[in-house]
Amino acid sequence: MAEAGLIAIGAGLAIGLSAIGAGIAEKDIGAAAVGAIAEKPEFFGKGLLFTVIPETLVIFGLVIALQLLGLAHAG
Amino acid sequence: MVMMLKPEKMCKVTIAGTKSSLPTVVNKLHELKMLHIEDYKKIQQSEWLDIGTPNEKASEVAQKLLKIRSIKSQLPKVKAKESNAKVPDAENRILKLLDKIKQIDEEKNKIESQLKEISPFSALNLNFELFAPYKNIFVATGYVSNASKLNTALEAGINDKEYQFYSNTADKNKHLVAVFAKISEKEKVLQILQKHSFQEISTATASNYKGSPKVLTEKLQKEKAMLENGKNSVSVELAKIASLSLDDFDSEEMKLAKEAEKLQAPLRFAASKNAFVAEGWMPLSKYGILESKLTGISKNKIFIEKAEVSHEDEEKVPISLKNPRPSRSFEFLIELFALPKYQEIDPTFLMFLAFPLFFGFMLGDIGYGLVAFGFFAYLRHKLKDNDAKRLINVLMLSSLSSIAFGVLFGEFFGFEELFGYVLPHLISRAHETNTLLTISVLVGLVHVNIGLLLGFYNELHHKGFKAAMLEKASWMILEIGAILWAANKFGYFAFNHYAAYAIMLAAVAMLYLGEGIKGIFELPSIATNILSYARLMAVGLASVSLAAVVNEFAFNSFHSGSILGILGGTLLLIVGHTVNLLLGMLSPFLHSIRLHYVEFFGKFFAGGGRKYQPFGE
Repeated sequence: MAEAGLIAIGAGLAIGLSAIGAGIAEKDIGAAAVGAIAEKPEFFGKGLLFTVIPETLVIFGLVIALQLLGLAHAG
Repeated sequence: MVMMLKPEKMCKVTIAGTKSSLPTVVNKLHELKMLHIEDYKKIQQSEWLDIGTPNEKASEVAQKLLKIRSIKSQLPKVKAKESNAKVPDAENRILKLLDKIKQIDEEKNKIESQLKEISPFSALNLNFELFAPYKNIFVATGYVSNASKLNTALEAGINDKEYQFYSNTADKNKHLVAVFAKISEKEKVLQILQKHSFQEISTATASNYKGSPKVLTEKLQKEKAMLENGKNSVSVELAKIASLSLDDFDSEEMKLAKEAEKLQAPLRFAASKNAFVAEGWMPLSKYGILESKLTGISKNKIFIEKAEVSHEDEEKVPISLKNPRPSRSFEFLIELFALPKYQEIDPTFLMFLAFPLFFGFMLGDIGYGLVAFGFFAYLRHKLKDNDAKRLINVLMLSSLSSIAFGVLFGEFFGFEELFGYVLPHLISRAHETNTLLTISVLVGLVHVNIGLLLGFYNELHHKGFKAAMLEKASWMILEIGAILWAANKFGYFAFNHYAAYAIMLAAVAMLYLGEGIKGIFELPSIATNILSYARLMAVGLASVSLAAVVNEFAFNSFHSGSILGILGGTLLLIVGHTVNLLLGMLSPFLHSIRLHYVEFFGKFFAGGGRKYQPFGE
């Protein structure tokens, strides 16, 4: 039983920490993008694209978390 | 095919004529509202064409426009009132009233600075003449922290207690004091004052005034009050005239602005001493009308011809979107992002199909959908702005879609059953999350691949078959390889996994050839883009869970039986569902847009076109 609990904590950390990492990454990119858009509104699309590039980190975390939850179920 | 909509086909138009026909041409162009003028820029000094000179009346009109705009900016904020009679000479009267207000303000400021100057004297209640310089008496006026302590010290320190002491202790932090003593005691008094942290203030200004400061203060306050009354009555009159003439000013400004635009148009044309040349773009379909109208009105004295948009011109051509009527409101969302380039596919119609579906999937509640629809219908009544109207249309369509999905999911304000009768549903959102997750990811797979197909078509036209295959088809081949490998691994059907690896490797090689090393870095992005659509399930689940929690708390509160319980329960229901509804209107909108802008557009849309703004609009 304790093992399942630990696995669950691991899954939570996996997604949580990767989300924090993505947040830290996107914070500065987003600020710069908003500044650029204020000067040149045509930049909106590219700016938005650049801002969400770090989302890959979250997806990796999500995949690991789901794998771990699968482990918890099986075990 | 309706999916392959593109921006309207344009042509390049050149108009040339003598200067005598310039005004008629400009007026007709302004009336037709068809030509997007390409401003002439003199690139080389050797060219014999310069920009044209504006009509003589242009500066006069510009001055009138400036006057009206400056009056409008100085007016107080009033609501325009309907009036049948035009206020005579409104502009000059308003200017006079504004001047008067400025005068009154100046006088008020003078009075207030005077009041400030005499405030210490009136606080001590001593006549101004008492502060005039004396032969044998020394005066010190200023602030100390504690007047009574100072008084005791002076009493002790000065011979025979020969001094006069006045103070005002109204302000707890600073006591105002005035000490009159013999000149011979000056050093002693100054020493004592220093020990009490004395801050001197100058009394030189006392010589400007006479008599009792309290009397003077009263007089000045009365003057100030009179000025205030005067200002109020002037302001009232100003507001009255302003509200009656605001409509007139607005229409006058619009008229003058149009005049100014027409009179300054020659600045945008190329001109020599006796002739002018104008260039611009317009929709190909309307060229016939322009040509016939212009040649008719200028009695064949001008030359006009059209040319096709060449490859180099494609960067400069203005973009006019052309979509079927129902999807036209969605052009607002495209303009928010970027207008497509000239030969790119216009994704408005596809957005019209997909956006309401995503929104409805995430909000998916009959009750919320109805309230949202009602709210947006009400807003549509009140808002006049064209952009806002288009956005409201988008949101109204999306709320209808939410109602439909609400029927599909069997949810009404988060309730899955009403009065014991279970609402009919196809899928239950709260209970079958895995099915929903699979559906969301499948939707993502389909949407992203539609994007890749459109990208393939764009590249095919722009750069040719080989580039299209290497840059876009490579992703699809990669997906096929991955799916075959997964199907084999999870036992759905047998497929040699080496063959699957080979297919994937081939796809990666194609991608490298097409986009270089940055393409390799982008490899995980296909997986993340598709998985990103899982938010369709996630946002929906969040909305349902919040509604269910609110309902449960409210019902526990109802079952407690007491009046307080019932009141509290109703309050909780109202507040909770309002918050959830606000989130439910904002969140699905944001996420649906984000899925379109980033995951969908990223696969095929470059954007960057400039808007078609015909002369005269």
